[in-house]
Amino acid sequence: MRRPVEELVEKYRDSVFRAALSVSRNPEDAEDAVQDTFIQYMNSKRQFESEEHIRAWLLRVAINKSKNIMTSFWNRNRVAFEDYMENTQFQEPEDRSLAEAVFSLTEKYRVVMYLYYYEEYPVREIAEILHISEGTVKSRLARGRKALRDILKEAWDIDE
Amino acid sequence: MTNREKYRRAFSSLRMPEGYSVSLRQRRRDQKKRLKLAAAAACAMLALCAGGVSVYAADLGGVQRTVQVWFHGDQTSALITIGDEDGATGYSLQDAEGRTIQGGGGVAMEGDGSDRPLTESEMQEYLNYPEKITGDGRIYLLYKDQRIDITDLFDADGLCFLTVSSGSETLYVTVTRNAGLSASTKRYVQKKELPEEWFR
Repeated sequence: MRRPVEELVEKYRDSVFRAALSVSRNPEDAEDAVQDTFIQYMNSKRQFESEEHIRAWLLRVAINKSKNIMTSFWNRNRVAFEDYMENTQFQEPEDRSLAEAVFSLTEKYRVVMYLYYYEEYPVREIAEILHISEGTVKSRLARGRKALRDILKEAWDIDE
Repeated sequence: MTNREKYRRAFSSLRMPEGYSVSLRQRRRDQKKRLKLAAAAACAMLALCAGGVSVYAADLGGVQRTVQVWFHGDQTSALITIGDEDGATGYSLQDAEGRTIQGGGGVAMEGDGSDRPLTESEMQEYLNYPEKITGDGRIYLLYKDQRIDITDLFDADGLCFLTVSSGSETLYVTVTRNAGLSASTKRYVQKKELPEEWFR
């Protein structure tokens, strides 16, 4: 199956942007990754099994493109992230603290946590999206959670 | 609230910036040019690491200007073509014999997702960006006419922080021992903001 790309942009652009931002910590690079991801979909003749399959594909492509952008370009305007965060309106003050804590983690933890906590993928599907083992996903989740607990104290519960 | 609810509420505020639209029709063409810019950057880095030169042929045609830029610590003539047939801005650098030693092109993205050719000054700024080179077992930072030996200035993380100035411009430069560098006019870019690949 295929969906019109305009529908996918409307529905998933913020999710794809967040996934890309989780990799790059740079809103400009994340925007580029979003553009490139939807263009790749548009140019691809690939057929998908379901809309869920399309969503997972878009997230995987965005994550990979973000990694490519980071290594392809000279990183010259990276202070943009701080400006972006300053200009972002969070619902509650603790939301900003949580987001800043997540972005202080290294990329491999940020991406796994985004897919798990925001996109609500189970460990097995995160492993498929990132092409890593389930054990690696679990390990990164555990270390990411511990790091957040260390930073946020009681504002981040000890969960599974 | 569960951790997931907290996380989702916090991250739901992170959206693509206001006024930014995904412009699919425009981007079919831009993708080619942006890749060109990336290739040019990669060529430059490879050339510098190897201490040699790299050729990236640019197929240019449009309003052309010859300007002076700094390349490998020397002032060099660069031919800048503003708004070529693809609506981009390209550059080519020639050696003393007139052979193209490096070239590339690029566009600037506007807030609405559309693109425009880089201006002459933007391209000059791009070309005058600091460079890291190695030679004789030493590591140097080149910035315009300055050549600074930074071999012994790296910390335990393999990072070197230094400020360079030229006229009214001051740049805060973060150099990695084994990969690239990053510069800002505002502050030093920190390790956590650099690509993890640079430290593997």
